[in-house]
Amino acid sequence: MTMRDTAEDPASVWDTAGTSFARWRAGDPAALDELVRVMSPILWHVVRATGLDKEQSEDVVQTAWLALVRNAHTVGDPQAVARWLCTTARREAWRVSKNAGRSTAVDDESLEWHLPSQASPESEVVLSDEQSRLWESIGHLPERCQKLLRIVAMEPRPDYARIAGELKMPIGSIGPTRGRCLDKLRHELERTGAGR
Amino acid sequence: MNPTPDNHDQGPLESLADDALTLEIRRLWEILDPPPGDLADGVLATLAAIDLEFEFELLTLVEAHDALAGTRSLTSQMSEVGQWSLEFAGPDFRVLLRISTVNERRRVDGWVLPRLPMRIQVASASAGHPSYDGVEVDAHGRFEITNVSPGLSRLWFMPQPGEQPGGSDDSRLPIATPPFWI
Repeated sequence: MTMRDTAEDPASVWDTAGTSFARWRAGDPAALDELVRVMSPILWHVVRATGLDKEQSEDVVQTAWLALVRNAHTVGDPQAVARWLCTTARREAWRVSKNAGRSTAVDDESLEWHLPSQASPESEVVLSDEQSRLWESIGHLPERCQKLLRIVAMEPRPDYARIAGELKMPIGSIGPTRGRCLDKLRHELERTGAGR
Repeated sequence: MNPTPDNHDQGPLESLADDALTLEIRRLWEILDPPPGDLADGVLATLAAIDLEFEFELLTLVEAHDALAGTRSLTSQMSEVGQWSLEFAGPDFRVLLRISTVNERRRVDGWVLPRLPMRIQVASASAGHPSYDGVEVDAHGRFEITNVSPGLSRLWFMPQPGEQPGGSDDSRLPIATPPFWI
């Protein structure tokens, strides 16, 4: 199983994580291995979406796992483990962002929030035409939309109320904001599509 | 409005529902910003290391009746032993254990003195840290764990949150016995 495979169906990853966690808590050490391999790529994306650099992100992912192992008995329902991990990782990421001298984690200007340049030599990735078009369209969105869409995209079942709290946005505003950002994205897609 | 059949670029992205479009964004980021190839291995190495240095208080074996417990290394030998007892001591409490055999499974009866609010679980000695919820000590400080697989094990004692006057939930470390044969 490759990491990319596990990311294909987010919902089933959630269930796999819950099952592995339950087995681990029941005393099967190998199940922790599975859990780590399934969830680490997801945590990476959750953390990177907050704007941390790669090195900090690796540290935060590790911290989230340490927190889980040390507090496994507080998770409760095993099916909640994926959300527990994502929330813990995201919180830790915001904390690291703030400690790095940024007054608030929501200030777009103060975060290292930028789209990696596809043209840069280190990102030798091959995007399909559709993905290139999506990429280009995302790049035309306001930064706040880019950031929010990335955050909510990376977690299969995001907890909007929590994310609202962490982004210091009003509770209940994430869903509608996501909808508006997606509408803007569709508009951009239509524009770029029509131009071809 | 005039789709060109040859141009599959003219895809359906803009017509995707919110969740499907979000999933496409996710896939894009997965391609553009993949995790380091050794991310999971690094995590596992870290977790293996903290297994060794996981912070907990260690109880001391002070007494073992039958003189076998804690020293024997062959489970086959232990399975012949019907019942034995152990006593561990820590800074705050002592625990007396009686281990018996029922249908080749072990039963652990314990007594915590003085009685402290905590949850207790048995885990394989290789687990390195507590995992599941465990059982609670009763009002008299007694607890029982039944149907335990024979093997090198630890008992974990986790102070119960909320019952420690003035202490926060995280203020107390788990407490473990040294590995011993059950």
